[in-house]
Amino acid sequence: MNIAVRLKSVTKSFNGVKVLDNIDLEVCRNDYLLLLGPNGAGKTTLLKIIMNVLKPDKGTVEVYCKRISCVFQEPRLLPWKTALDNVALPLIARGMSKGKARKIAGEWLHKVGLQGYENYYPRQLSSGQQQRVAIARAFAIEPDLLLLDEPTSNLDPENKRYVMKLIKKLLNEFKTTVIHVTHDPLEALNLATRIAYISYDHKLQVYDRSEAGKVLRSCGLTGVSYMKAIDQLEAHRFITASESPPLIIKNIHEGKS
Amino acid sequence: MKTSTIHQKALAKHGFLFLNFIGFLVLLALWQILSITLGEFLVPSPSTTITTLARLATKGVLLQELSMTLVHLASGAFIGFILGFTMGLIAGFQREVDHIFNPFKWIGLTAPVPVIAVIAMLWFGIGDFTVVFLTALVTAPLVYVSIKEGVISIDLELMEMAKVYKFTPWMMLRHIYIPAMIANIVASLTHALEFGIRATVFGEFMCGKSGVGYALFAAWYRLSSSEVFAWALTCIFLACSIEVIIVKPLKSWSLKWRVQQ
Repeated sequence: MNIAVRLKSVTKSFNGVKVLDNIDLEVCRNDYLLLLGPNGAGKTTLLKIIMNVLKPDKGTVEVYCKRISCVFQEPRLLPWKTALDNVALPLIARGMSKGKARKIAGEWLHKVGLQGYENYYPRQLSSGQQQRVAIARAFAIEPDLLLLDEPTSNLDPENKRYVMKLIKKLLNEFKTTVIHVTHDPLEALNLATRIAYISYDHKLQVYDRSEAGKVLRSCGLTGVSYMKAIDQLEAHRFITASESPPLIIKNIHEGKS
Repeated sequence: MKTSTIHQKALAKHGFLFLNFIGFLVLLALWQILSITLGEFLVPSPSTTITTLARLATKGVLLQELSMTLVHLASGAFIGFILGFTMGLIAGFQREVDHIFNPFKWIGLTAPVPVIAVIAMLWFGIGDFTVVFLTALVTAPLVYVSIKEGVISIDLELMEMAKVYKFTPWMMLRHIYIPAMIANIVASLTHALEFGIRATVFGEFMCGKSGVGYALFAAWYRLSSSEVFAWALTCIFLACSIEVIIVKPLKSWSLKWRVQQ
């Protein structure tokens, strides 16, 4: 098995408060791991440990990827650099000449539909456009590990759909290992090869795609949202229709969704 | 509508200039009245002061002392800036170091300039080095505080992003630290110059062997009141020139840059 990321007994606390408790996780190459869980469960902390921004208190982290990129919740663009330079800088950091980096950056901006915006500064772009620049920056280095940290959480529904569609389109063209953190399981269920769930007690459970129904129940999805998720899963043959529990159906009838 | 607003602004600007000119004339008139009332020895008239200034300029003394003051200021402010900048960077990144530097900062910010001048004289005697030392010591804490605040205010999320994308230390400095701190760098530079010129002239007066401050002291010692006024006028002119030529444009550039971002 070709492992991309391996975490062994990772524990992390902030000011004595445990955020991750004895986490074990293996992500294989070209896996699309959907990392779900409620707010404050430790999803982003786990991602920060993988991207080496945070060190765990205990446990080991093995990342067998050289080119790691991340699309954060906020675009995190340098406000004093143009869209083109923001995409080009990570390439320059990897030793590419400025001219070549800018050329590649231009091509990626084109791919995310921002041709003509190369010389715009982040403040001149909408939040959706800024996030598209961040996506171009993430893909431009041709990552062997792509981390998505709730990339659509700060966007309006229309931009949310557009950005996820764009990520899916780019991932169809460019296969890579993805760890996607979100608290909205509907966002990328159809892409996920495996689903991990961090609960309120900061424990991680990894499910196979055939067990997605269990994950949805763990997420507390009820009513219409649950049915939408089930439809999505069925459409992609993730689970069988028999997995939908009657209790949830009852909620729909009672209008509790 | 837009044209009339611009016109009104231009009128207002000219109006202010005119009022400034009136204020200047009032000052000159008061000076002349005081001179007539108290006599030429205590308050030399504006014309006598200008004549003395012209004489000093013709003899080359004015330019010589002015250039010495500028050398003292530039060296002292430069050393103070480098010292404060380095310490501010270290303290900004290592908060423990900030606590170690705190006593130095308090002394530097609160000690009256004459106290520092007397101690500097005790250590290094009278001369150029003492003046430069005094200027550096007065400016360094101001730069330190401004730079430290700048480092603290750098967006941690941008630094995380740079770490993920493997920015080199040079790229971090060039593309994140310096642009993020530009307003603080400009503020510290302007502080260094604004307070530096006062410290330099005072240092020259107390413990210098050259410069405008020293010339002022020498004129006072010889009881040459017209020269005292001429050198005092030079000091004011110098401080105003630095404010108008360097400090104000730098401040407005930094403000404009910040607004654009």
